[in-house]
Amino acid sequence: MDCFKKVILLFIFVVNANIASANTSEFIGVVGAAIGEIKNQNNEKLVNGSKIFYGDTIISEEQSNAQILFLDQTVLTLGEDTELTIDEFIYDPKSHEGSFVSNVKSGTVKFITGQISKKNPDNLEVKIPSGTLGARGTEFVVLSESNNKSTVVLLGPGPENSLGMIPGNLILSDGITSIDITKPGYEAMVTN
Amino acid sequence: MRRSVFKFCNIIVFLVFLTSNVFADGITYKEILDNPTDLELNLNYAKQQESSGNLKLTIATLERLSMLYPENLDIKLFLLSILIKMDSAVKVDLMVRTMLNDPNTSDETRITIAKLLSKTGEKVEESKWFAYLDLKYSQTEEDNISGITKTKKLLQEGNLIPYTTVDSRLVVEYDKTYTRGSALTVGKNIDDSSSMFFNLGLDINTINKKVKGDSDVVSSSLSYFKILGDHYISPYVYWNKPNYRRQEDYETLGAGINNTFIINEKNNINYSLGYADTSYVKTATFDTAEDNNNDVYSSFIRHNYNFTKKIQLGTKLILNRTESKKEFDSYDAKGINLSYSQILPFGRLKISSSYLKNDYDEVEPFVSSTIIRKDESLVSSISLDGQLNQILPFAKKINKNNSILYTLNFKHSDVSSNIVNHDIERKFFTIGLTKRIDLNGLF
Repeated sequence: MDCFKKVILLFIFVVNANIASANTSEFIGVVGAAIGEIKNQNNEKLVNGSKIFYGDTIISEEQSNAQILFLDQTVLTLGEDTELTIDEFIYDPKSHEGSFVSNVKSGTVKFITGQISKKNPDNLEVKIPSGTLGARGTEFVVLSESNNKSTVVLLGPGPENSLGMIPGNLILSDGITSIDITKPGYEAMVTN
Repeated sequence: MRRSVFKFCNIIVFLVFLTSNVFADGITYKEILDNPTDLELNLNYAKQQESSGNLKLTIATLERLSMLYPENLDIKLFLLSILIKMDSAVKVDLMVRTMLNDPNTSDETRITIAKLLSKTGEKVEESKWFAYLDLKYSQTEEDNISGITKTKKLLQEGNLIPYTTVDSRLVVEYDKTYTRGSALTVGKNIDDSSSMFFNLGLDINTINKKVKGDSDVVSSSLSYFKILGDHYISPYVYWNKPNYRRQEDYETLGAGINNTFIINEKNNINYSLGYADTSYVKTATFDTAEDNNNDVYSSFIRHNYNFTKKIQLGTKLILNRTESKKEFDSYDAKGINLSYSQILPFGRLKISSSYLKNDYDEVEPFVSSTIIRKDESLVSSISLDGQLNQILPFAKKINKNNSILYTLNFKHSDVSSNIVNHDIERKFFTIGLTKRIDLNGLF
């Protein structure tokens, strides 16, 4: 009988564990790698495996960098002295529909786009101090040097990739004009 | 009872494993979120994603492992091989330099890097060619297509006579010209600082009312582009051959060199020297056509000042010499052009004005035996060009890749001459669309 009780308790534990796991679904991503001093807007230190939540600001200090994995498989890599805010993250893992708006306030962030962008490229938006950026199935870097100057570089995939991948495409806008970047290695700058 | 409990436990354990996806197909993304630093798990995940074709997750995983385990060169080599396949030249370059500068990189690893790069080199070799095709349509409205003089008079053998309309179909004022054109451009990037372009085009011009002047024009050019320090040099040759209806045909062969010297971010100097030889085709109908043969020597120097990143001011000095078989058609031309261009939300606005003074060599006896022709022309234009989406936002549906360009141009030409025959004023308005088709896939 004791044994039966133990089984029941084990069952309850498993169910509770699953419920607890469901509750943590509020997080939108995790810190995959944290090198050096990485913290959030509450000055809490972020380490490997720390959860990222809607509205979080992630700050990397000098000689620090981090990689953030989001639920939709978007992956952001922060360079040193970088501040990034997640303004919006809505994602339905079944339909892959959603919306991802991030704000690179300063520093360097590399983006590898995920399911939200794959489903609808217009739903991935990157705000930079002097403009906005849209991306289509690609990997790119945003460098916000100051409040009035930002540079974006398209990294790939290139048109000559041997993997049958659709070449990347960036659309950078300063609110008035926009420019398309379609060739990897090419960059564009937006200033106020 | 104990056996039943044991079975029940097994079922529970099975359910627990099932909910944690241990028995699901391969490693899941959720497992990676739960264990982003586990070397073995993540490396297997990277291989799994590579084999399923999801290279972006492979790269993200390998980059993370590379951050977490910086001394593991196998991870870096794995990542490098993926980046090469992805055609991410910038990242490949950065990564190779980092690895080669790393004192921990063994000779064996360096050899592996060299082998991977030799594959890249072969691929770059294959991708040096590029090509595109432009298809265009334009319509030009002109208020004086026959060049009727301002005074409606002509000078003949020293006498002023009224401008008589012999055939109203030949001499008209307002008319429209429709142009359908195509141009194929094939280029080759020779190295990082030089390239070669070949262009072959065909324009078909149809004039609405005026029966003379319809034409099809075949043209081609070959140019070379080279960057030498702050100099952007481009020598070129070209050939064009219009085929006119009811007019003389001719062909022009030309060559030139153009150089832009970048002084600094704000200033650059552009200068050019050119030569063109035009030969008219003698036929039974036009047996004196060859008398119109001419050679043109052209040159200009232009200073461009970038007032802001969106506004440019240009000043150009022009010096040309035309040597015609008919001496009275030979002349020197000197002039100046001022231009202003600005990038606006709906396209690039350009305002330009040219003043030219033409001094002819000799009198034209049939017109006047005493007056040597001197012309002064002022040609002003205002144009707007850009992506069609910029002026018609709903066009994005048919122009997703911004490959349709528009142009609007208004030009006013006012020629004042001491010979009334050349005292002519004209206005032109052109609207055009160009569709660019990328043919890079052919190479």
